[in-house]
Amino acid sequence: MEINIILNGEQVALEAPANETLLDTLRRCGVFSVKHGCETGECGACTVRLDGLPVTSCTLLAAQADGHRVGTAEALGEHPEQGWKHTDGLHPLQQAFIETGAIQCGYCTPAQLLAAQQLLEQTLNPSEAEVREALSGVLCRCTGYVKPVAAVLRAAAQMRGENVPPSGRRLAPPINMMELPTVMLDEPPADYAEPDTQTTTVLPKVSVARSVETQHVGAPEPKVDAVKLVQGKPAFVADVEMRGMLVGKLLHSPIAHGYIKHIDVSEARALPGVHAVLTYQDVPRVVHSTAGQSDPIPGPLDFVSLDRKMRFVGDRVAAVAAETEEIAQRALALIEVEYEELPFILDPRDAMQPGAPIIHDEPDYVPFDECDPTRNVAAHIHIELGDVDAAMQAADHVFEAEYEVPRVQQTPIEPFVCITHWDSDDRMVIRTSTQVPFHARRLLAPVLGLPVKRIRVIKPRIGGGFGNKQEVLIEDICAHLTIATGHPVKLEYTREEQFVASTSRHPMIVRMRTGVMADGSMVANEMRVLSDTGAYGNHALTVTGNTGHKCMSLYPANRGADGASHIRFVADVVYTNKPTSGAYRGYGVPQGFFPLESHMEHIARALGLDPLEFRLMNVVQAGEEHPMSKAWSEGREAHPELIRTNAITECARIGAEMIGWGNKRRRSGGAEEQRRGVGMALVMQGTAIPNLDMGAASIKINDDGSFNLLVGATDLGTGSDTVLTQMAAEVLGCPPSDFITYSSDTDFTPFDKGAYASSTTYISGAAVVEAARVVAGQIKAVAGRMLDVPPDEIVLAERQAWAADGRGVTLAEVALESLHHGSQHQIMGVGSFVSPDSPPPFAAQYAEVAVDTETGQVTVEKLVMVLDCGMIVNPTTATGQVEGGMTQALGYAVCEEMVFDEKGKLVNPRFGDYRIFTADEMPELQVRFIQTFEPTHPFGVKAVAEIPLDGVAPAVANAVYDAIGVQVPVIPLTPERVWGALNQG
Amino acid sequence: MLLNLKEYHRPASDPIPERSFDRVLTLLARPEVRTVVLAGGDTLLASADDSIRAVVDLQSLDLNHLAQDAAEGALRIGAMVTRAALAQDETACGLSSGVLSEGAGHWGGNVQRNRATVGGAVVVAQSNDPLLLALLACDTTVRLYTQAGYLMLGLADFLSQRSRILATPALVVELRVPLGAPAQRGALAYVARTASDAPIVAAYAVVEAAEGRCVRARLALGGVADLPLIASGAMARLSDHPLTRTAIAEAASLAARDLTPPGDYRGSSEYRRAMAEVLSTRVLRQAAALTA
Repeated sequence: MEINIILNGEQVALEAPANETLLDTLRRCGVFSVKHGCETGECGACTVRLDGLPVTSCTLLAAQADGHRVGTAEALGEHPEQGWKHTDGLHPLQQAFIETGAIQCGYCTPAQLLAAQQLLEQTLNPSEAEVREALSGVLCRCTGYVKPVAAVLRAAAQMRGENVPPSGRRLAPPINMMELPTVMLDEPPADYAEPDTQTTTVLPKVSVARSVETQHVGAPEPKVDAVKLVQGKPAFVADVEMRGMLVGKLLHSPIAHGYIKHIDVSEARALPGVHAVLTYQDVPRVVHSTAGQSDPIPGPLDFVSLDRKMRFVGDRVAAVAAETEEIAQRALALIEVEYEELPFILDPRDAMQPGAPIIHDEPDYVPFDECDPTRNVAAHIHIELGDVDAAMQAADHVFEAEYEVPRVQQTPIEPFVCITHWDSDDRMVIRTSTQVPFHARRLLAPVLGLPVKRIRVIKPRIGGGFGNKQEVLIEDICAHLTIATGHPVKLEYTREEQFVASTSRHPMIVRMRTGVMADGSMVANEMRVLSDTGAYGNHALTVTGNTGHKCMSLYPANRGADGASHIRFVADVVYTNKPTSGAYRGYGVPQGFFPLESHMEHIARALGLDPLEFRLMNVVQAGEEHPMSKAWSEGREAHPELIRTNAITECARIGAEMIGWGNKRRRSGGAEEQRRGVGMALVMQGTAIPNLDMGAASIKINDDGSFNLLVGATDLGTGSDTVLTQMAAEVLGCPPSDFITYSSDTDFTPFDKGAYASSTTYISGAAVVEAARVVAGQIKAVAGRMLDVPPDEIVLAERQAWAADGRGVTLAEVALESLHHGSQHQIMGVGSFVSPDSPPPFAAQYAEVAVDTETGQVTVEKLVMVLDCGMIVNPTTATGQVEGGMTQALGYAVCEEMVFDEKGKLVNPRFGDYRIFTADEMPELQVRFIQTFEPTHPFGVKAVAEIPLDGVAPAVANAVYDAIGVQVPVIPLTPERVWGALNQG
Repeated sequence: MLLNLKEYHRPASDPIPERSFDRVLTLLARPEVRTVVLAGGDTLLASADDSIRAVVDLQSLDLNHLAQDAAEGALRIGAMVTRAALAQDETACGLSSGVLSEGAGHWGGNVQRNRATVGGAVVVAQSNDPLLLALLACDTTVRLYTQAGYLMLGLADFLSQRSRILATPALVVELRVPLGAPAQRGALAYVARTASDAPIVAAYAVVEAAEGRCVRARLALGGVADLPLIASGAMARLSDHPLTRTAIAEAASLAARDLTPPGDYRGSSEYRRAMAEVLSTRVLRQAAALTA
């Protein structure tokens, strides 16, 4: 049917089938700012303005829009300079989103802009609550809504005609760990002009011992990709169109465990418009792992593209490629499958019981290390430091308790999406939303029967990943369909598939046992973990190993007479017939810190100690050896590491002041049914995998003195492209705007292991610095010749190469000289970096809660996080990382949980039922950085991306404990769980 | 995707509304083509119901009216009025301490409420929908159009018979909410995983008191049965009695006593029954306090 709409002010006539949504129609017509995030209208990424009102377009038939005005972000504003053509430029909202750092992955940004635009058309004096209300229908998984709210308030001020000062500011210089300064809280600076929001981010105020002079590193530079994202440009995988492109779809298993007894795809294949239907009978059986990790894969090879055996509800049965989504869906419905069901395992406690069903009994299973598929053990870890049993015996008290953490989903707003095609050289091009393009290429080669050199993986912008996309999850199927059909194929998950057939955080049951002396000195610590890897063992070993490696290192348990650490970590990672667990930001560490920090709280209370002082008495210090470093390194050879920088004590003290620790603990008060409490947790993480994670970069100069910076690192919304550019700019003495930064394409960009393990700023950043130093050397050589001075006397600054006498040549002049005039050569450098160290970032997290003692409902009112993440390259992107991470972790604490029925089917595979926080219900967030200079990195950085996930749940749980006097050992802290704890007698 | 949807109908407005309503009913009555009403679309499209062959979009039928009818002493709400519009409506905001407005606003986010309609809420009849509870507490009447003409039904009666009535077919065209006595006060309480989440259990009370005695009380509970319900026993206990803490506690106990709520992952049956009493007590006390 024909529909007529006024699209962004222009009358257009569109053809749309009766069942097509407005989202699909608009995207089919090239309106790519409107994004697909779900099919139920709950994420809001598809928001358009219908007759001025922001509404979701995925639950609106195109026909319903007939005769109406439809507005999208394409009409907001555009780049002001387009060659000889000048435009009105960006809308103040777009500009404010860029300036405040409100854009991370940028996938939901167009929707947020439209919702905000409508608000500002109603009032230019919105309150923060009104802004939050306006944004409440658009889910954002990256930002914690802090900066989008600030951006809207800033735009409103600008539109009111106020003179709004530049956004953001530098942080205080670092602490010199060799000479720790007195920490002093200063008054906020007079020039602090950010809008005052509920979730105010207050930048650090710490007195310092020494400073490092930098121009671009440490500056709140706007993201290098912000301008395109704020315009909703077609930057994501799904925004690519190709002639003859087919739609790929998967048929998923309805049973938890069993075999395909009989499968008939003849009717599906015969359906007009269907180009291929693939089952286990059609593609080679190549056992592999989907985990995006370095070679060799530290886990079992237990997965094939299509198998006869089903191992969870959602496992792959068949794949279809068809000319349209509708035909593909019809084809799936025509596939007849008869299953032979087997007994299944849903509770990990049943997995190792005698007689339990064996989930992986295939003969081609390739074990790794201590995995034992005959007992459903995907990985077993046993780390022993010192004589734990003797130390426990010598302890005055031994405390023991069990805790449980749930399976949760990363829920990037952009689901998994991939496009594959053969290029003109018969090479397989895989354009995919991945965190690991180079690992994807390596892992897919044998699966597809292609050598690595015949595969090209392109990573465009990514709409969030959070570890989820450290999995090579759908690329194989998409490529199989391209091989089968010869056509380009696009495979994009629905939200339900994203929940059911993707990966999630490992649920764990954790038993703690801790030996403590009467004065609170910890002398022995033991953690025993039962971890559920689900149907496949992709990240089984490494995630759970990380649980022990990071968490159990925070307290070395070396406060006994012998001064040695006595730590035991034992883990069984078992297969069950549930969706596969995988990488999720934090990578096993949040699962460990909830039990550890809950247990610490319990011990402190039992001994009558202040939980803060008890922790600080036992926490690891700078100058100590990382306790677990020599015992374990993700399944590879371990080497001892020294902790060189550690401001955890300062973090804890400042955080305590920010939350009001001394005044607010153990209060009872408020209304009869409301009790309040505060809680805390100390946490640490790592920075990359030592002696393994490698990143590389190349830089070349252009005629005008600009540079191409090519990195294999994968910016999944974190801002890594920006901070890498800032480091290159620092070395080369020019602004970040002089760089064209590109990531990543296995044909063009140097190798990088990808975005995981909190490694990019540290590893890839050092590689960029190395490449930039090579380029700087070449520039100085050319400039030296031009100025007739030795190269080592040249200094690069302000886009020029300067001699000591004040003469200088511009980088453009240097470029022209080297490219066109004399001793011609391309100024270009490559750098790579791998580190023997994984310097841990540290942090203190605090929470303040109100508990309704009649209903059990927990309201988190305030979260504080104070971090030592080394030097901060970009305060705006770094605080954004922390705010977003804290918000995800808040969901882990109180509301997020994947729930299954008795047959293993997920009962809440959609937003809403699976609750993530919205803009209008956020607590106050406060973030501060205590900068230290980590000497193993040229700019002193450590990781910031994952540590915000680690301590919110225990801090909230400990605050609830403080409020009600009862510990709840299971998260999320749902109303019924808290109510149950209150009423347990 | 509504995979098998082939027909989209949007009947035009007619000076005589019944003529356009008749066209809707004719379409809905076709036995060979499963046809359903399309209001906002969120619930329908999210259902991905493959059995649906045709939809009838009500957007042109002038069912967006939202006005106070002084003669009838009611707020008349067209079926296509959105939750956002109702949440912001001045009359709704002033009615029984704003319970109607609050109920309309507590659902999804801003962009979702801009499409979700009041008529859709009544037809979908989600047990924990605060808007439905508010409408029940306010003693709302549903105006339906059927092949036999208009039909008025109390909301509670409509909800209990809704499948049968809608299959006749019938079209929800309007809701009428009594304006109530000026002294009428209301309160909402709910428990949820987060502040803006859909309630696990919710309670609404509207109370009118005079000289310390309850003239009229209506208590609605959600999340405790397949449909939202009116706690008749509790209302009877309070009627013409002083609104003491004891009376309210007894009424709340009565409200919860015979419930056998279906449990799910957000709250077990036991928990929901317990919350029914807790929240009933809370809203009755709050409403009573407001009348004082």
